[in-house]
Amino acid sequence: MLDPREVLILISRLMGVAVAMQSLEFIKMRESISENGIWRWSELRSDYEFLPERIKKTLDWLMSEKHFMEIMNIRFYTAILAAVYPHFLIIFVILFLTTFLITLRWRGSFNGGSDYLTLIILLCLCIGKIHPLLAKAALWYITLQVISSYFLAGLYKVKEQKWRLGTAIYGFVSSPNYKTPQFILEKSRDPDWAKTLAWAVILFELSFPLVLTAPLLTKFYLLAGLLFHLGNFLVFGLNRFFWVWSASYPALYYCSQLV
Amino acid sequence: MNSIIFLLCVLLYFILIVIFSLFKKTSQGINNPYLNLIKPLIPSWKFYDDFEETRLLFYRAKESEEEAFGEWAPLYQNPKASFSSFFVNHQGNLILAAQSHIQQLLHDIEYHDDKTPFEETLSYKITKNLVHYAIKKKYTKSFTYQFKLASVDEKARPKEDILLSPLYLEGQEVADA
Repeated sequence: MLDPREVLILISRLMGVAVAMQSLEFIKMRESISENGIWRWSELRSDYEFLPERIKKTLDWLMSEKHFMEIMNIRFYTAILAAVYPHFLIIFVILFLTTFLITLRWRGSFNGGSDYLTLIILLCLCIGKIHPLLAKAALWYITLQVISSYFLAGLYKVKEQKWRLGTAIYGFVSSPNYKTPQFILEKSRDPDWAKTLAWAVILFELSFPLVLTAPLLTKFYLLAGLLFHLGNFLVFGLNRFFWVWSASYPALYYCSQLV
Repeated sequence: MNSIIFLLCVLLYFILIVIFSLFKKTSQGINNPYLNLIKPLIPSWKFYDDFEETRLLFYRAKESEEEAFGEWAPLYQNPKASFSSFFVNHQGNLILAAQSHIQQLLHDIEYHDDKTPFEETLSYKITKNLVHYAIKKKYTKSFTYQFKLASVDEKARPKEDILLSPLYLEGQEVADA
């Protein structure tokens, strides 16, 4: 039987790597959050008019370009520390709070689902480090959220006729928003291939709860999940999803051993 | 015995999810600003469920009064995946954040109450910043520009305008636009 605290340590290390890379990305896009950039705090602060004056003043200080970049630097070094020496609760409290600031700076999220799962895992790491029993609960919570992420995504897709017919595949990969590799673009024009791929994605996502039922299925789903996220990176450029979802997989493996 | 109870609980959880998903969403969602702050902790996990037409931002710009505007050009396209972008993909993620912003913009256009001009909303201001940020490096002199949000055809050409901006002179609105 695996020790839940050991599993949390492994997730902590993986999250350290993922958050360090995310922080580097923010550091590299400094100009976009400046007062000459896209997300200017002087404008964004209007979303938080409802907050008490003292909190607004604190946010004004934290969210200015200079201080926000300092926070991202702190986040980067703290994440490296998390990967190397993931034993202190305070490391994960800092990572959670700085990630929360990012969601405020980008009106809910910068990178959608990957921000959400980053926040959830970091919160669970904070809670799980308090007591061994809480460690077990934290691993279960991560597991349920990750399984839900696949299952709900599959459920929304299967309800849509375009996904059931496979035409949604070409619709997404041909979108000018993405620089999809040419061979995928050409393949997705074939209706049979597109329908097969669409149903493979739907069935994979809808059946993901089976990850908990048998050791062989656990290995299969986790490996398929890695390939799925790798594919999403190649087609849609979603690199963050690969790292954050991979970091959660030890929790799924642990929970599958308990069932 | 414990394992069976665990499995049954997990099964019940997913059955409830399926049942709740059968109810159609009838409102624009929770509108409490404090609850919105913690929304990232309660995600809906909706990915690639938007099946309406693709909507893109287009711009056109010119450097002098005499010059005519060219064709509308798409504002951005995600860079091709590379080995390094698997680890650090700041350009790609910036564009993905811009796309998320477009979703927010569309939502705000739909629910705008007309009490204030739409140009004064935060979503509009961010869109204008986004356009200015993306094109300013292409021009050495001052320039006039205009942008629009439009649905696109199969070849990614603008089809139907959703939002059309006035003319701007490098950050300020042209008076007689």
